[in-house]
Formats: sequence, C-alpha cells, structure tokens
Amino acid sequence: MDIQLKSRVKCIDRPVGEVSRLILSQTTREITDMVVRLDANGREIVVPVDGNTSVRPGPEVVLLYPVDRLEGMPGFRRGDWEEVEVAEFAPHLHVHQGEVLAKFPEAERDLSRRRFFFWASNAIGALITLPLVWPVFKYLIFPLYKGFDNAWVRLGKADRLPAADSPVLLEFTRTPKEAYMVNTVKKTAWAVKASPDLLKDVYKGDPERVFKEADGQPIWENKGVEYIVYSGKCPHLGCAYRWDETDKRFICPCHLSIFKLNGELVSGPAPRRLDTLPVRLADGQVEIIDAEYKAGEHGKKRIV
Amino acid sequence: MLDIVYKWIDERINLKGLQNKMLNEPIPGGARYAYVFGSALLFIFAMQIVTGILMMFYYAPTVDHAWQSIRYIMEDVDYGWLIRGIHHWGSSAMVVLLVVHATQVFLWGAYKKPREMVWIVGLLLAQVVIGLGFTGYLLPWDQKAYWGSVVGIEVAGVVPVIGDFLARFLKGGTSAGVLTLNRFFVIHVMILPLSLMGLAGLHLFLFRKAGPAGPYKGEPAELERKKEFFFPKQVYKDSVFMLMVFAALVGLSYVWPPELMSKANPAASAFDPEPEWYFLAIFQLLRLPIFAGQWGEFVGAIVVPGLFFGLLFSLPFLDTRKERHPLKRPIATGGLVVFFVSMLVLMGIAVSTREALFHHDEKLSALGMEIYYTKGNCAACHVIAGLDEEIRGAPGGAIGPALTDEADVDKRQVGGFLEWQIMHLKDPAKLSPGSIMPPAAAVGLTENEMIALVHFLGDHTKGLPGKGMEAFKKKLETASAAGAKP
Repeated sequence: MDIQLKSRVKCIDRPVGEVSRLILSQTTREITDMVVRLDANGREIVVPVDGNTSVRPGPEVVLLYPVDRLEGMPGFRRGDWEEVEVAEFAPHLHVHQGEVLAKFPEAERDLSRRRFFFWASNAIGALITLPLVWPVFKYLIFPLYKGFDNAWVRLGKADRLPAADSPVLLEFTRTPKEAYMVNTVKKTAWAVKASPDLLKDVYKGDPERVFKEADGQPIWENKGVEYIVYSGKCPHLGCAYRWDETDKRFICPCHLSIFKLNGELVSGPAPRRLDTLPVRLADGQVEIIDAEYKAGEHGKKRIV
Repeated sequence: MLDIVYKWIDERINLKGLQNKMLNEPIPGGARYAYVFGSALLFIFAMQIVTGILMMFYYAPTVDHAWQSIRYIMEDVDYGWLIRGIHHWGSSAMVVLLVVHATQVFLWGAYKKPREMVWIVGLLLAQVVIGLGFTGYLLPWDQKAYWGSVVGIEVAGVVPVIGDFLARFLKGGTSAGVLTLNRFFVIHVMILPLSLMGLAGLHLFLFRKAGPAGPYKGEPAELERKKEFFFPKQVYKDSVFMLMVFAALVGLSYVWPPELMSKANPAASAFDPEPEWYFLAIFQLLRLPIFAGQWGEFVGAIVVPGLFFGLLFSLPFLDTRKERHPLKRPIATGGLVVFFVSMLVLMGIAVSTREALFHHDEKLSALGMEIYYTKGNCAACHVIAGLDEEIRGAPGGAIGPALTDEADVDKRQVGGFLEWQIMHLKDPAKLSPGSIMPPAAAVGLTENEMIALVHFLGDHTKGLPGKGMEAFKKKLETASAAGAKP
C-alpha cells in the first residue's frame, strides 16, 4: 500500500503528525522519504521510508520506533527540493502534481559553473560551425560567376540576308559545357544588313560599338562591318521580341516595348535600347559573340 | 533585443518551461564522457543531412551523369572534396559510433526494464543506418558502387518466395541500371532519412520517458546525491566529443578524400566487387563453403544476420535479471566478446584475401622496370611522371595514356589488377576498343615478362623497386653508352 498525503503518522508510542509531501529518488523512481509535519510545533522533518515504515488502512503510517528517534532527523527546507512531474516519474505512485519532490542537484546551485559550461559549449559549437561557413559559401557559389565566352559564333551566310535595312531573325545553336555535361541550347538574334545611314544611326555611342571583358579590357569594336546584330532578348525582362514589317519597328509582345530599327526605344517599359552584339564578317559568314546583358537595367551590363 | 523576443515568445508558449523540461534531465551519478555517443550519432546524422543536401545541389541521379556529376563535385567545385569527404567518412563514423553506442548499452545492461523500447527502437535505427550505407554506396555510379550494389541486390534475391520480387523491386526491373539508381537515390535521400528522423525522435522520447540508466554500479542513494542535469555539463561533454568527431571527419577528408573509381561498367569481368568495410564480415561469411549453393547463401546472407538481429531484439525479454554489472553477466559479456572476435576474424580474412590477389615482389618489379624501358619500349608511348626523367632523362611519349597513377587505378584496389593487365597486354584492343597499342606477342614478350611488367606497373608509385633502382640505372647507362659507340 502506498503512503498517501495527509496520512496520520504514528510512532510506536504515540501519534506525531501527518504526511505533507513525498520525496522521490530520480535514480530509482521510488519514494525514499516523506515529509512529516509535527503536531507539536508544526515543524516539518524528512523521514526515510524504509523497513521501519508500515502503512495501515486509515490511512495511517506507523513508524516502528519510538518518537525520540525523530529528533535526529533533518528539518525540511523547501529550497533543497524541486517539484517533479509525477507522470514522468512515478505512474505507479498515485500522487498529484506538487505532492512529490526530488532533491535539487547540489552541483546545479553553482551559477558560475553553469555559466562556464554554457559558454564553453557555445564556443565549441562555434568552432564546429564557423569553419564551415566559408567552404559552404564557396561551394554553393562556384558556378555562379563564370568568365565570358568570347568565341565567334556563325549566324549564317552574309549573302542570304535580305536587302538593306530589313531585319531577319536568325537561329543559332550553342553547345556550352555546363558543369558536368555538354548542353545544347538554341538561341536567336536579329541581324540587319545596314545602310550607311542606319550604321551611323546605331553606332552613335560607345556601348553600341565597343565590347569589353569583365575586367574592362576591350575585346572588340564594331567598326567597318555593315551588319548590325541585336540580341534576341528584350532588354526589359528578356522576352523574345518581333519585327513589325508594316510599321517598321520591333515590338515586344510581353509588355509592349517598341523599338525603332536603330534599336532606340519608342515607347513601353524597357529601360534601354536594344542590345547590339559584336559582329564580324568572316569567309562570307556573319559571326557574332554570343553575349547576353542583364535585363531591366539602364546600363548595358554583360552577364554571359 | 534577443531577451525581448525570448520574453515575447515565453509569455505565449511557456518557453522557459519547455526549456527546463528539455535541459533539466537528471543524470544519476552526474555527467560523464561515457554518455556522449548517442549525442555524437545525432550530430553526425545532422552533418550527413547538411552535406547530403549540399551534394544534391550538383549531383544528378541518372546513370549517364551521376558519375560525371560526382567527378565535378570532387574536382571542380570549391570544397567539393570536403563536403563529399565529410559525408563519406561520416557514414563510416556513424557505423563505428553505432557499434560503440550499442556495445555500451549492452555491456551496461541499459536495455533492461524499463528501457526495452528504447533498445528496440535503437536496433531499428541501426538497420536504417545500414540501409543508408548500402543505398548511398551505389550513388556515385563508379565500378565499386555498381558491383558492390549488384552483389547486395543478389543477396536480397536469395530470400525464398519473395526474393525474386524483392530484387526486382530494388532494381526496378530485371537488371541493375537506370531505375536502380533512381530507386536507390529516393530510398537514400527521402525514405531512409525520414525514417531515421522519426525513429530518432521516438528513441529520444522513449529515452526521456524512461530516464538515463546511469552507471551499472554504485549505491542508488549515492547516485541520487551526485546527480546532475543534462544541461550544462553533459551538453559540454557532448560538444567536446562532437568537436573531436568533426575534426576527425575533416582530417580524414583532407588526408584521404573519398575516391571515385572509373565509371560503372557492367562488362568489366576482371573487377572484384567488394562492399563497404562494415559489410566485409558478412561478405566473407558468404565465401565459406558451408554457405555455398542457393540455400547456403540464404542461410549465410539472411538467416544468420536475421537470427543475430532477432536475438538482439529479444534480448531484453530473454535477460530479465536486474543485474547490470558486465562482469556479473558472463553469458552476455562472453557472447559480445565472441561476436567481436568473429567479426574481426572474418574482416581480417576478407582483407588478406584481397591483398593476396596482388602481392608485391621486388625482384619481379625490378625486372619489370627493365622490360618497360628496354625490351618493351613502353616509354615510347607512355609517361610515368618523375620516373621517366630519372631513368631515361626525358619524359615518355604521349601517344598512349599516362601510366603515372596506374598502380592506383580501381582494378588495383580490389584485386584483379594482374589478370586485367595481362589480358590487356595480350590483346589491348579487346579490352580497350580502338587502342593502337601493339599486342605483347608483337613485341616478343613472354608470359613471365608480362607478369614482371605488371608487377612493376603495380608497384612504381610506391617507390619500388627500391634498391634495385641504382643498379638498374647504371646498367642502362652502360648499355646506352655501348649502343652509342658503334
């Protein structure tokens, strides 16, 4: 039979008080002691529950020794003990929250010790995670910033292009090595055989004429070539735009940006004119450097 | 700032209470380094998840690009060797710590009442970890991966009645290929990690319900008096050990980056398949004559491990005595010793068998080097960096592939090197289609000379043939001086 709270406690000679709390050993998960509130002075003492403890119906706890022995038993100080969750520890004990206490670990009273181990653990955590930050960052960004591919790509035979000042959409295939495999990508560009007037009109400024490496080194200048090639992507948000033969203008179907034949923006949301590409004539073929520029920005910033 | 956020959350969900519940777990007898292994396993699992996710940024689970993508990770991507290295060594470390953890629980009798369920879930976790090792082994799709997994799948195939279905299910058909890789991939990165997370959560929950077992000896009153909370001292000890594990994983990855053999080739008959080291014992078991034949194989590969795990599962029910001291439980402790000794013996035999497939012979190597640079005239087409300059004063020709690392190639690692090289020398075009290398007969090499040549190829990166080198160089010098005179 279990000891219950409020049970009367008797020694062999006379009654002494009642059970006010139960003490649990977290190691054995058994009740090891009980707290008895003495009738005489209301003092609480910790009494071991052992072979000399007998539980009788009533309920009543009988201590099989004389009352004098209680004098040697320690007083109950609440601060030495902590409440434990009954359900976690002693489902067989039939007691309620707050009735069962366990010894508060002596070592955990020392706050500076706790603080030391707390910071030491954090320092070790930092020693494990911080050295990984840079490698993981480098690992993830590895393929992000590749150098430009400045190879010349054939667009088609120059004599196949229509008469001056009428643009034509040319398709070309690129096979870049992407990471671990060769990929085949189809791309388009608008090519125009340009009249001297148009050439003059287009190649007004440096950005249209001079092409540079990422580090600012010039790699090509569109000079003495009577062809103009525009990147097939609208500078607004990268849509493929079309040529409107009736009105002689380029129209982007996505957000209705409209450009003149010389690439200038007529209307619409595009932030800049059409992007000219480096172009040359070699063996009767029109060749370009397959550059791409960041969409949505005023400046012409090369990304591929 | 952080305080304000903490307080705000605490007001709403009693964060403090939750925290106390998590951290104020009393440990009978106090914190100890003996209790760090479970936490270390959790730590490595977390590392495996992180490095595994990172590898998926580049890995392609298809037979035509898996191998290339791993090579890309290893050779191109910054710190790819580190990420894959931690993952590779982490898998071995997990098996090692698992064995240590389980052995400790076994020796300390911590599987006994009321912790039976913790033990059982732990055994399930062990099987998930083994499954992760097995499925992850295939993913790089190199020779080792392919052949190791094919053998593993065949093992599943010998189970009576359902074996054929099981093997087909794993392969995604009749042969190991496109779908096998897909299946192993999804099992490795989704099914098993999720199972592991669930089971590990359950394991911890059950553990916290039952409480730590504490030392196997000592007076309960004494242990109760000396108890400490999990936080902060045990947390500190756990993290010290985690740091050691972490340093070991990084160090191992740096010194021995995980290898990537040549791409899987189902036609490479000279390749001797070998599983990961923790399967070596059972691999060797299957070589024993008593486990030959269909039924023998079933007994060796399924029944014996099955009985072993069955015994472990039923352990808490067979051994219901309260005694936890390992020295007072002679049957259990003796059984553990027998188990470890037999595992080590089987692994030792497996390793020595592997070594026997190609053994070093200094004399043969010296003879082989002579043939390489004189009669065989191999240096006309092949380069052995370093050695060429030392012996003939100039690098070898570039017509054939360089042989500098020939000793390190896959065939060497798992035996079969000798056989493969001899076959190749006899008829190069047969093993390497399109090769223009002349067959050995055309050069006039005898069988013994070929064997010597292969020993040289297998040894030269190890600095052999050692002492014979000086004498040989002198001989070569006088020979060339003599040749130059007339």
